Amino acid sequence: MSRDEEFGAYVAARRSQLFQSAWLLCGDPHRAEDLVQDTLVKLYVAWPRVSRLDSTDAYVRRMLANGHIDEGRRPWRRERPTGDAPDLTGSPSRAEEADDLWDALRALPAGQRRVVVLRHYWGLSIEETAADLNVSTGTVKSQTSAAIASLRRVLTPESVATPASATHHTSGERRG
Amino acid sequence: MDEFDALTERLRELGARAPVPGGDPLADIRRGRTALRRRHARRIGGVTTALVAVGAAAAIVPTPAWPGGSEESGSGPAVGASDDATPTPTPTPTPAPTSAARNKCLALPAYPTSDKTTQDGGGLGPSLGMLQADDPGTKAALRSYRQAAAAILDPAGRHIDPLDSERSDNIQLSTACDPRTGQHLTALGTKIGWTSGGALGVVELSVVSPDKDDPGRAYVNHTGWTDYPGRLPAGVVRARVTDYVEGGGGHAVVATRTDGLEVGVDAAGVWGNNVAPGSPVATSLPSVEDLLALAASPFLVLPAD
Repeated sequence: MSRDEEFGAYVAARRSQLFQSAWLLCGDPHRAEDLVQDTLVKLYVAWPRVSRLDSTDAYVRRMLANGHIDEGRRPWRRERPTGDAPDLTGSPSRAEEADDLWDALRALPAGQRRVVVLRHYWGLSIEETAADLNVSTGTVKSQTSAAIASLRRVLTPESVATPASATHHTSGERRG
Repeated sequence: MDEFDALTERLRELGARAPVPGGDPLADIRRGRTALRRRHARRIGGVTTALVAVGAAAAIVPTPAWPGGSEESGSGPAVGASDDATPTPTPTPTPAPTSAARNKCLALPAYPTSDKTTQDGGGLGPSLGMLQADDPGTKAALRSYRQAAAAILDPAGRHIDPLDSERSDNIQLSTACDPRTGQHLTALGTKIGWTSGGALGVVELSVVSPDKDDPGRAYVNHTGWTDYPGRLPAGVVRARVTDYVEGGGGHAVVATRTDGLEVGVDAAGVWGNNVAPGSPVATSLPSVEDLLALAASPFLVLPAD
């Protein structure tokens, strides 16, 4: 098959998954589409080399993560995380829980969000995540820990059944 | 289940709800080919510049008489510089098989294509076909969309980007391929900038063919749809509306029309990928009624194949 045919088949099979990852990384469908398009442009240019690799998916995943890092370096697109997970009251429905996680994920600093997506959405190990992001395993561990601490309130819905429990939840508390 | 596993499960559930757009692999191929062409041009340009610079230097700098050297050795430095600038052979792309050998559609799953003659091959081998985005009919339809949007949503011309705006070249399209008849559009749309109070929002249109498998972008981008409670415009059999808060907030309508088309119009307070995070939100967005009127417009149709 030609480059176009091989690349087209790969894109047809993987584009949705790439977009889902980019959506979680970027927190915005428009930026996610930009990131996917940029990644696929780079992939097309490198296709003769990449297609010979054992794991094209791993290479593309790394391109996507690096593309997200590069985008964050552009000053006009630099994110300003709020650092605050949303306050939750009442017993949310399943759909609302998902929205809560979405909001909380978007509130994470970009670095933590990348670690969360690579480790929990892609299912990478600490070492694989560190290699993908070109950081130390210690950085991955600390960012994972910080991210889970920030997301704790939406991961344990029972803990936010009352405003009081949400207000006084501490990082040491967790539900098994 | 501990927090780690809970996060994994919830994140995968969340990812599955992502508003995946109906991406067109051909559009990705086209962008890739353009990037490849530019890269080759840069390489050739760089080599040419280097050769010109070396030639100019050789012509301007007088040849020194190297002590004890011959005429050849006297030209040593220039020769050395020339050697440094020896161009690396530019890789020649492997030509793809000729399109004449292909069917109307490539034998790839969910991979639409065409065997029409393209204009964007750029010497990089035979093309896959003129992409729908370059089709004059597609361009005319998009211009018609933008004119209708301006006339209905912003007749005074205070908010909507003018037709000749650099931001008004956005194209959203999906295609499908019939093995007998070839490629055809299943959805066409565009994004148009909406400026209000110094903020940049966006109006996104999408016209979706009844034979498209996936719902339109407006529908998949948001949740909370309800049937429009008011009177439907002529030509509309059903309209759903939603107000949303994410991404700066906004509202959207999806109209199912008597001609079978599903037309989505989405007015968002922030044009996500064209503004910096934390930028102000456009508040004076067009009303739901205006969006619905635009969705019913006879100018919003798919171009004829």
